[in-house]
Amino acid sequence: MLQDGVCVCVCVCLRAVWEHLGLVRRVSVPILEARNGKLCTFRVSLEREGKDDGKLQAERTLPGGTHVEIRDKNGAEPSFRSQWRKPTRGVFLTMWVMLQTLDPYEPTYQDRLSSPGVMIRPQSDSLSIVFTTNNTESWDGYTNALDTFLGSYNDSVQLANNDNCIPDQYFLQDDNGDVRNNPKKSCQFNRTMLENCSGLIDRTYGYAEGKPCVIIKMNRIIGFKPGNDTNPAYVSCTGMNDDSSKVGNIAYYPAGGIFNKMYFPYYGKITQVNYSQPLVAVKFLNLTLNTLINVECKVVASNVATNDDRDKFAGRVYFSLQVSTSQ
Amino acid sequence: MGRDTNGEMDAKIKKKKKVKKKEMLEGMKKEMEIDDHELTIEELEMKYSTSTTKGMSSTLAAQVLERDGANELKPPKGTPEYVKFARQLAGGLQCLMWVAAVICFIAFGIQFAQEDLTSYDNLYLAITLIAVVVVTGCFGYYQEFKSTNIIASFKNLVPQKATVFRDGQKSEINANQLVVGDLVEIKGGDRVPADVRIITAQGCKVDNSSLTGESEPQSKGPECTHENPLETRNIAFFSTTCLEGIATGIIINTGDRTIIGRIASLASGVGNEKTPIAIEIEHFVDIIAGLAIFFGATFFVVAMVIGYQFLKAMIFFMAIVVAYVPEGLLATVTVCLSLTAKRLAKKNCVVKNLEAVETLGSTSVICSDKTGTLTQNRMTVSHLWFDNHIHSADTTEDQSGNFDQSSETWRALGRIAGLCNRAVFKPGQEEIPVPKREVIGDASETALLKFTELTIGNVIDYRGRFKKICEVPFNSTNKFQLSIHELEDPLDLRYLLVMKGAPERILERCSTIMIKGQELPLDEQWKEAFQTAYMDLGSLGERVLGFCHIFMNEKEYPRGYNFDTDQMNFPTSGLCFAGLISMIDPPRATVPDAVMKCRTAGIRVIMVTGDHPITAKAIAANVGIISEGSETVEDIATRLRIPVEQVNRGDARACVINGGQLKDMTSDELDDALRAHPEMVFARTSPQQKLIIVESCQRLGSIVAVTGDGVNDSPALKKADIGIAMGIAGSDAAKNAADMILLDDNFASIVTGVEQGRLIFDNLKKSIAYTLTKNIPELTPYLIYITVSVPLPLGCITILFIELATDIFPSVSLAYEKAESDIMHLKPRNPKRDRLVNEALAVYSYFQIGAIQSFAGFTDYFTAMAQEGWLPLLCVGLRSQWENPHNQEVQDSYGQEWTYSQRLYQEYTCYTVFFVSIEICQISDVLIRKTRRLSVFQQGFFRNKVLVTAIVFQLLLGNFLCYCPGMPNIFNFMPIRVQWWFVPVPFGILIFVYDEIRKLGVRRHPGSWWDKELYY
Repeated sequence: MLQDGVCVCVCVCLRAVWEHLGLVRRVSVPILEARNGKLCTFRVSLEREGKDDGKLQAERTLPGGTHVEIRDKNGAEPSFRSQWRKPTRGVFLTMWVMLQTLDPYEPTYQDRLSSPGVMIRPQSDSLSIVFTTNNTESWDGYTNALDTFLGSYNDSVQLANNDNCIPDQYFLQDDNGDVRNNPKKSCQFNRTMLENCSGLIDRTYGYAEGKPCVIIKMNRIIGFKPGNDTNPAYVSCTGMNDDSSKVGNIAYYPAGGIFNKMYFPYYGKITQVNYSQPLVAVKFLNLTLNTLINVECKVVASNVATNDDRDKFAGRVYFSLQVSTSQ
Repeated sequence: MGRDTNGEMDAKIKKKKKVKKKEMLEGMKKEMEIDDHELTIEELEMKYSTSTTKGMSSTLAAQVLERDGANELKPPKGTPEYVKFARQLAGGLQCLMWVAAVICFIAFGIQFAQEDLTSYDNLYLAITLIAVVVVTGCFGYYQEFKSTNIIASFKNLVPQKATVFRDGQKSEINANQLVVGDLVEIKGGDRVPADVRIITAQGCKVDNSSLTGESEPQSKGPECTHENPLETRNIAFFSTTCLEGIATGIIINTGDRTIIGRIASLASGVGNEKTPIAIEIEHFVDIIAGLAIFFGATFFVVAMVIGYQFLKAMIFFMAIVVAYVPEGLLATVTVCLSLTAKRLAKKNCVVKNLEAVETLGSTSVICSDKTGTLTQNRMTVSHLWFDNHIHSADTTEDQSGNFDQSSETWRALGRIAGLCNRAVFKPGQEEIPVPKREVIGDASETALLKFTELTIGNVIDYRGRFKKICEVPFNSTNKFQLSIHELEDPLDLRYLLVMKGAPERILERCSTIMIKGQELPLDEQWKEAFQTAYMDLGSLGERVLGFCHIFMNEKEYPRGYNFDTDQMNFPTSGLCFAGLISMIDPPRATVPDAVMKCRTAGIRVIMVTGDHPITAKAIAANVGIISEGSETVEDIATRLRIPVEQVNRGDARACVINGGQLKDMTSDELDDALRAHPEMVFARTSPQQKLIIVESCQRLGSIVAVTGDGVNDSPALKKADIGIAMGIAGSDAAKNAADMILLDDNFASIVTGVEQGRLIFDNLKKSIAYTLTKNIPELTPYLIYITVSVPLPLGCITILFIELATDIFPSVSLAYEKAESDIMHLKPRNPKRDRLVNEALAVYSYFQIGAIQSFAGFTDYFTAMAQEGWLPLLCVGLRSQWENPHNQEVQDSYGQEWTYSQRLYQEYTCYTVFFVSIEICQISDVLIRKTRRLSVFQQGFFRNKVLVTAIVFQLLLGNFLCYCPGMPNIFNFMPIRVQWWFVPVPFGILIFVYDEIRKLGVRRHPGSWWDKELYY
């Protein structure tokens, strides 16, 4: 950590000297050498002013300290324009140097993301699902939302973009040293896996018959592997307080409400472009009708915290259901 | 009459300044409109329907009491305390903070009502803001409270009991029940209960010092000796003390209508002028408040135009005000001033009104008393004339040096001085050095006693060897004092008669003169020599005494001869003249140096004294108030042998004006005189004239310091920009009216004060520059937040922590900074031109250093955001998503999803990172503020230990706030990664280098545009 800080300082000084000597374009090379001659990767991703084709990528691969590539999308060597030489830009140097230290594929730190948040679909600000079974208008908003949400999970889409992975084990695609394993593959999560809640068999997701489906979704966190080697993470829903008896039976899809391990870890949107987040659908089979029921759905896994007082959405989600029959 | 005059006066004082002086002069003249001393006793009885034998009737007294009110000084109708307190809470900055607090409350209320409560920040903020205002208000109120209890000391002067005759009965009543016309009796030790016209008196002497400043007791009697009531013997004044004797008299004025009462009301009527520093701070606060409102309003409008809700826009307004107002500044200024005050207290200057510390630094004229302040207030033998030669004695405080004592004449002179002297040391002072011992006796006898004690040895023992037979004490008709002694040698049966007195009277009684031990006939030649010596000593302003003796033949006056002091059956003429001894109240040793320092510091010292012009001039010349080679108009006239009228006034640097002349001068003439002659001495001035002199100086644009000790000085002390009372000699009223008290009554202490005052002005400038700088990095986050819609980089509570916690100590530590150059070689600052906060200071702090700090903050902010997954370009426009508490799935640049709470803590991390950036830059800032012109390397990095401690403290506190468990949820501080502390370091270095370059330019090119624009 400290290294980075010092590095930033050194960079500023060197940068100033090089700028003066007109050596600016080779900036990243000596800095790398300066850091204990060993491994040190700098990847540059910065938007150049003016041109939209100016996405510049400088990548350097070590060990050996030999191979340096600096080129933009069109393969041309970038020209660092005189904008950097304006003295007023000097104060941006530190920021510029900081940006050099960033990895475009994964964030430097994930201090706030120790545990994933959980959300439901269909979603509203109040997180309540209230409808009358025989009033189509009262629930078609929900089903439409689910249709839209599940669109990208259609089997055809998944088949086209994603791979069929080996289930029940983490799908590791680590880089080999500094050789990028890029782009990374994603596993198929087919809509059909949601069975009765896929909206394929029952296009109303059970809303018409008063057995609504709610889809539980866990936030993406790069490198996060929920569960442990033996047990995958699974979803468990209960009624809150007095409502536990009113919730009735619950069916989980895929079976056991499991987030299969093969969907983890997530490698970030740049490298794992077509990542499909695993889902768990929850179907309430015999809710007590005409009452408001508060439900809590938890992700059960050894490394998912569900008891954070201040974050109500850490590893769990609360929502309310009210299914009416009359009119 | 009295009440009307009073009312009129009060009304007049409230009028415009220009008119005020004239009015006040008239007011003072009216004070003198007492004619009771010129009335006969019968007329008096008529006037007050009383009797000089039986006193008043009780019923009439009761009626008069009803009419006039009690005989006591009424406190002036002051503003009620709660109003004063409220005023402290309603200053420019305070009002802004109230508004901000109210907005916070409203915002909190609305959020609460909408059950939209995400945090209690707004409530905390409101409470903190109110606390800041109230605490600062209490501080200010306490300061004001301390300096306004002026009337209280006058109350202490009122006697408790008085002996009064009513209905022919003598009784003791409370003095506040006395009325005009009452017949009262005053004994030695009493305080005079009211202004009293004396009817009968036996050896009554009154100490008028608290009223007129005269130190000699005044004898009082029934006869009218002067048309001026203040000078006549038959009126005794309220609050003065009767030293000895007994007197009866009729009360002619009571309560506020007494002379002292009028002075009291004059003192409280003279507006307490605002101190220069108060004006400076007010000026500066106005600017800040104006700018804060301007910024706030502008961005309120901008926010509304962009399309924020009204409430949101109001919160922005509040936040901008909080960010822009330097909450800790007033406290910093107060603490800096009190530190200096403490430092001054160690050097015998007690400062009552904190702001006076700085006033002293801007002083350009000091009106100083002579006695006690410039001089030692102790008559000391300074010269002797014997053997036709003037010998000087040592007049320094310890009187160690000496002169040639081998002559026989000296032995005779010393013997006379030792024997013809009634003064004795108070017992039990053997350990104390002679000059400091206390003596019973008058001033000149004391001087002679101490002088002989030092030159001859144990005088009391010596007197024992010459047994005293009889003596004639000094009286004003004889103007001499004599005593007759047996001789030391028991075989010598002659008597020795020794005599001292006014030199010309002594000479008249002499027929011989002793020269080198020989008695020579006193011929014309010797008389001429005597005259020359007498004139010489007199022109030095010294009090001269002549000494003579005679040995009386044992045949004519055998042992046991009955000397009769009334008949004078012994020789009192044909004596042998021994010599002259002259005495003066010598200047304090440190004073000439101090006056010199004032001169180099561009401060004019004006002497204002009640003493003789000659003495005053001599002392003035002695201490350097009149410098060597400066001449008065009269001096030039004498030198050129031309009439005074023909002298070109411009040639005379010095000028001595006495009270009589001053009375006839118009204020314009006085102004002209003050302008024309740089070296001024006012002699024989009355206390009221002091006020006129002060006003005249102020008209000329000077900042005036006045020293004084009597009650009568209190108007002048109040009128002065800074009143300095004497701690030892000063009366309570003077001390109360003053802003500062000199514990050792020493003029040199004032110079120390001036130095400290100038230093604190410079250092306050540095402190303020330091404090102002960070307002920009506090403000810019909001501006960027509103316009670019990035997640908020810096919260209000964090700002308050910077303002009120971490940055207070470093800004105070600048008060310990040493002067950059010899500040006592500079001219006093021009209050109109040299402002505390000038444009250069504000522009440089805000737009240069402050801008760099903002960059540091934003760099660190974007670093923290980017490293946690939010690249800068994503941040732009992110605000609405970011702050939506219902959105638990906001995607960062890497595709990760964040809940609201995770984002909130990330925001707190940003606050902390921004806070840390400001702290790091402020460390650099405090280092550069050590100097304004010199390089920090010249000033010394670690010379100011307090500053180093402050930096360490600031870092520790910053670390504590960041890493103490529980902080995130209480004060929104997050434990941040260590390397984020280092991101602003290059900016800190930049600030340092940048300012060194500025200073280099300022030093290299004085007077250039660089100097003008960048030197603050």
